[in-house]
This record gives sequence, structure tokens and C-alpha cells, in this order.
Amino acid sequence: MIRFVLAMIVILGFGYLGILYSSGFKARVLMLEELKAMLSALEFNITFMNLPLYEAVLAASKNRSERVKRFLENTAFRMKHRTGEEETENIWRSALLESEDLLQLKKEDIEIILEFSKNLGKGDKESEINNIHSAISRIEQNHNEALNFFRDNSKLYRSIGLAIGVFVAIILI
Amino acid sequence: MSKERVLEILSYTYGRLKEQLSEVFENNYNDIEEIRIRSKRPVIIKTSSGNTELLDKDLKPIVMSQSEIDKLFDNICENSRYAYMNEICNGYVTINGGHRVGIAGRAVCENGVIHNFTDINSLNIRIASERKGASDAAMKYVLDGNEIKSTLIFAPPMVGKTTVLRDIARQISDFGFKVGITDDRGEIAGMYRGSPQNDIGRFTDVIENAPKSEAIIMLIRCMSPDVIVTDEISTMKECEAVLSAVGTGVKVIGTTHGSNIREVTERPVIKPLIKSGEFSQLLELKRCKNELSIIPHSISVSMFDC
Repeated sequence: MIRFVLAMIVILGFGYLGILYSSGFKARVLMLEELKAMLSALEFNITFMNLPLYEAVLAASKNRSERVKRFLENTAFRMKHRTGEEETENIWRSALLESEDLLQLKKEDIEIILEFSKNLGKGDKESEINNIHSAISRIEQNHNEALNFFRDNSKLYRSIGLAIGVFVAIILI
Repeated sequence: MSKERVLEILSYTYGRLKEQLSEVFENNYNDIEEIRIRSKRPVIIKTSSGNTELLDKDLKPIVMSQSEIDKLFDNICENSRYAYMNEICNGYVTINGGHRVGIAGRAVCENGVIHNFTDINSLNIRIASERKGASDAAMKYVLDGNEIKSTLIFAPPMVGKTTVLRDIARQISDFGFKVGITDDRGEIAGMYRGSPQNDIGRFTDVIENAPKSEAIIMLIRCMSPDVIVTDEISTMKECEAVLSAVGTGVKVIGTTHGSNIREVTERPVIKPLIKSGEFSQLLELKRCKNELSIIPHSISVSMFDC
């Protein structure tokens, strides 16, 4: 009886590890969705509300997940309290670096945000919209790739977890 | 003008310009009228006593490069040029404290309409000059018992027409009249993000950034003002809007450029206003040794009959 319980614990433990590993893929998918929603909110705050950048970013942080909210609040704070010469791009870069672990994004996702921040606040509304739309479409591409990868691999990793659990249980028993 | 309001300018500057300006503000904040920053030329401080160059610690004139001016202008626009594009196209940006930054550079035009300014090489930071009581001498002509008289104030540029006009708005508003201000260049109320930076009175509504002719009609339709205050009447459209305002019984207090009564009354834009009989007085503003004086001119319609 004890052996059976131990075997079940081992199988379920490894199965859980498999689920945990595969959920990492889902986190990126969700985060990219969050970023897309954040950019749409930013577009609204810039075009319709006509808010200056730091306020537009702060307003875009509302209704976001805790992680994205923290990142955006940090960015907005740095923008508001920037020293005279600090560039917007550098502020986003350092805020992103600080939140890298928090956001669970890949290098190519971060590159999109950095590229987007380069032209932020430098043109009229039309060029801001173009900049945001370009970032959204690139994020969509990454999102689709991440979603496909998640669909293809999440079952695989969960199954591998269970299989390893069964294998270890057999050896131990 | 409070020191805090003048010091707001420093939050947009950086480096040696900030250091030296803060010293100048510390000693002389009340007397500065303009700060003129031109690419590759010395920064000039204009006070009531004249122009002086802004010097660095080694007593050499501070000369700003084009890239420094670009960065300064980005700061003035809060690094969000899109948010100030309407103002930029009109050649100025109003900053916190109600100060106005005039710009000069290369205009980007399409079908004769300015869409943007690039290569901005000159900035003129014009310090808001709110002087409470500046209109005391004018009030006895504007306020007749419990009635307001439609009035035109004229003077050459930089004498203080807007300063007097703003103070008239404040005084008649605090007297209890509903005042509507058309502030197309943000000079009267000094609106910054929806809040007037100048004291314009308790019963005052402001339409900013809209063409005066449209703002006057909007104010009459929506805010039912007793008095409309408008700066620099200079086009026929504005003249027509003022005429329709006085036609509805609203009093108008406005300003216009002009160095003498003859020049003003002969201007095609002003003539119809005087002919309407509503503007029976023109106030000439003069400045002598930083003191403002008012010279009233009574006008009758019959002057134009011949």
C-alpha cells in the first residue's frame, strides 16, 4: 500500500513538473496578449485623450495584469522624473531590463518594445499611430508563433513529465 | 508673478543653461520678460532695462548648439510632440506656469497650411506677466456703475495689453459678471493641461486653442456670458464674431495693435466695430519707465458719417 502511494506521488510529482514547464510557454502567450492590449490603450490615450507620454503610459497600465502594471508604472515614473537629457528609448530600455524576469518575454519580444520606444513621442499623432500599429503587428506575429509552439509542445511536455514519473516509479518500486 | 511660477521654467532646462538660469531667477525673477535661445548664438535675457547675455561660470556667453535646442524643445513638449502639435503649428507652446515658448524653424506646409515645425533653431521663453491691479486705472472706464461698457484697448506690441486685459477679466469676474475668454494663444489664462495658471476670476470660462471667431460664437451659445474677453482682434472673421456677440447683448472687451487712435480707427477690421455704436470708447495704453498709463478716447459713430 505504501509503495503504491509512493509510486502515485512520484508519478503525480513528475506530471506536475511537466505541466509547470509547459505553462511557461503559456505565460509568454498571455504576456504578448497583454502587451497588445497595452499598446491599444496607449493608442487611445495618445490619439483621443491627447495625453503626454508619461500620462498615456500610466493610464495604459490600468486594468493590466500586476506584472505589466508594475512595469508600466515604473516606466511612467521614470519618464516623469527624467533628467533633462535622458532619452525616452533609454528609459524604456532600463525599465525593461529591470522587469525582464517579471515579464517572461523572449529577446525578440523585448526587441519589438525597444524598437517601438525609439520613435515614441517624436512625431505627430499619425506617426505615433503608425509606430504603435507596427509594434502591434510584430507582437501579433510573435504571439501566433508562441501560441503554435504552446499548442504543439504543452501536451508533449506534460506527457513526458508523466512518462518520467512512471519510469522513476517503476525503478524505485 | 510668484517666484515658484517663474522657477517652473527650470524643470524644462538642463545642464549649464539650468545652472545659470537658476542663478538669474534667484536674484532677478520679477524683472525678466523673455529668454531668447538661438542656435549657435548667445542666450539673451530681456528685462525691463534691456537685453543681456546669459554668462556661464567663466563669464563667457552661453551658446546653445542645435542638438541642445532640439533636446530642450523635446523637454518643453514633455517628450510628446504629438500632444502639442496644434500649438506647435501656431508657433508656440504653453508650459507649466503659463509661460509661452515661441518657436522659429522650418515650417512643414501642405496646401499652404502649416503641419509641423522642424529644425527649430530659436526659442523665445516669454515669462507670463500676471500683474494684479494692472487694470485699476482702466476699470473706471470699463465699469459704469453696475454695467460693463464694450471697450477696445490698443497699444503697440509688448506694452502690456494682454496683462491689462487679463486683470480686467479677473476684476469684472470677481465683481460677479459671467466672463467668457477666448484664448487662442494661451496668453490670457495661461491654460496648462486644463487649469488656468493666471487668476482670471471666479466666474470665468475659457475656450483655448480655438480660433477666436468660432470660440466667441461657442461661448455665446453654450456659456451665456455677460462679457466676452478677447485678445488681438485682427481679422474680418473675428470682427464679425465680435459684432454678432454685441448684437446679442453681450459686452466685449478686446485688444488690438495700434500706436495711435487715428491708425486704429482707420483699420478696416476695427471700423465696423466702432460704426456699430457698441464701442464708444477706446483705451490707449502707454508704458513709461515700466509704468502703465491709460488714455481714454471717446468715439462717436458720426465720425464715420462723412
